[in-house]
Amino acid sequence: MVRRVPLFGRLVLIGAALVTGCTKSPEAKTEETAMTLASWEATARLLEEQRARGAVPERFVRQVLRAAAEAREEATAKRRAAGAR
Amino acid sequence: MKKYLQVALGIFTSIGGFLEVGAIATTAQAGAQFGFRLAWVLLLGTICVIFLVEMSGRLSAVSKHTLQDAMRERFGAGFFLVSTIPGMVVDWLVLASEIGGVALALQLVTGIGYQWWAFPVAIAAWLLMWKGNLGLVENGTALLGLVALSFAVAAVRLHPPLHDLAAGLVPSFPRSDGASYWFLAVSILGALISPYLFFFYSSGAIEDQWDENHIGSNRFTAIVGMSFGAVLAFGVLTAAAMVFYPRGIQVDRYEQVALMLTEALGRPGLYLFAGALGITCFGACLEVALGRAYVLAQGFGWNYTLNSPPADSARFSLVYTGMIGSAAVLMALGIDPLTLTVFSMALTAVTLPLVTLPFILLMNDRAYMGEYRNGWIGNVAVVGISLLASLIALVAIPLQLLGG
Repeated sequence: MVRRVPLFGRLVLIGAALVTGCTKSPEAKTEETAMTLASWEATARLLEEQRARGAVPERFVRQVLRAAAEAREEATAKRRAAGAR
Repeated sequence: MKKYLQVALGIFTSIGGFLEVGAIATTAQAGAQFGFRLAWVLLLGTICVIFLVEMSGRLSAVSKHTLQDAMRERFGAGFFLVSTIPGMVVDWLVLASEIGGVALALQLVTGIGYQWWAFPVAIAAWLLMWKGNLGLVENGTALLGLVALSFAVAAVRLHPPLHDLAAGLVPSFPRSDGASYWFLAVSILGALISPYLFFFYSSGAIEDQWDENHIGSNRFTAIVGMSFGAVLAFGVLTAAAMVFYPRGIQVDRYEQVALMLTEALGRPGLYLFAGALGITCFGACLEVALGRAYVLAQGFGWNYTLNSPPADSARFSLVYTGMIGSAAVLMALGIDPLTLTVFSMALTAVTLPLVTLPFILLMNDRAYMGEYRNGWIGNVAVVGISLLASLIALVAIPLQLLGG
């Protein structure tokens, strides 16, 4: 006899599947950090191109570079923490 | 003239409710990460919003009730409280995000940190509501919001491959990175289908005294207004897909988003981006604060109108004052606006069924809608939207919490 799973139970199962399916492995986290760093490198290159064309004011350049430095710092700290585990 | 004002309400609703900080952030992220492949979600969201906005306007024009008022009357005070309390918390977070959007726009132009702009922005929005009237709020924002057309202009100037864009309108499964793809899909839908948008539009229709004669123009307004917002959102997605996607740039900060307009439009692009971000988010600030004040006033039977002095509707005025003041505190504390935006969008998705499911019943209730009840197309659309909303709620939160 097949026992039907009640609706609440099904929802819990779906939730559990989502939760376990979406948890990232350390490798995935490292890869994500690398992608973030590469993304900010590419951002800096694009910014330099635009700066050379005079398409962006210096004040804005400073803001983006500051954001890039903060993001890089954060990503590096994450990478270090992942490596320590 | 009245028809013009009605279209202005639609455009304003579109600028504040459709294209705002959430839509700009999610469509830019989608374009940067997946090119044109998530364009179909934008199309689906637009269709959903057109249906829901048309229905909320028709409900008000025929029944002379706002959406929230009709829900309270039809489903009782218990339901009103159950749907209002979580909605109010979510709207408060959304409001803080929108204040953050305006503050960031000012930061881009001045270089002064966004947290310093939180209170000046909140005071400007509050003053407009306190001293102005609905016409000024609607028309002023609708007119200024035209600066957001720069997203569409930038997209055209970048010469997107139309074949790829058209292919993106067909739903597809991702080749890799499925979790991010679906999370962005639900985030876009959560950002576009915002309950405060329907509450505001419905309340505006009552303030503008719509009746059955407005049904045709309501449909026109919903289609034109929301399509206007959709064109701008497609512009954001296209520009991001053209500038960021080929370079492998992910959008982690708002400062990066501005680069897609400077790439297409040069130095003026930065100011146009700041203007578009600031005005659309400012419009959303007004819409969220007023939408929630309307909901509470209608639910508790208080006076409510923007068209007479605040003393005539003191509790209504107190609600939007309190909402905007407290939301500004959150942003002044220096919380990252992009993180808060994504978080508040996921929570918005959770509350969607509380609005869309009762909507189905109301739109088919002869006592409220008479001969103007929904046809089968409308019903199928709303059922589809409700299911979609539930799916969004189920998927968005675990993905959000676990950083999918």
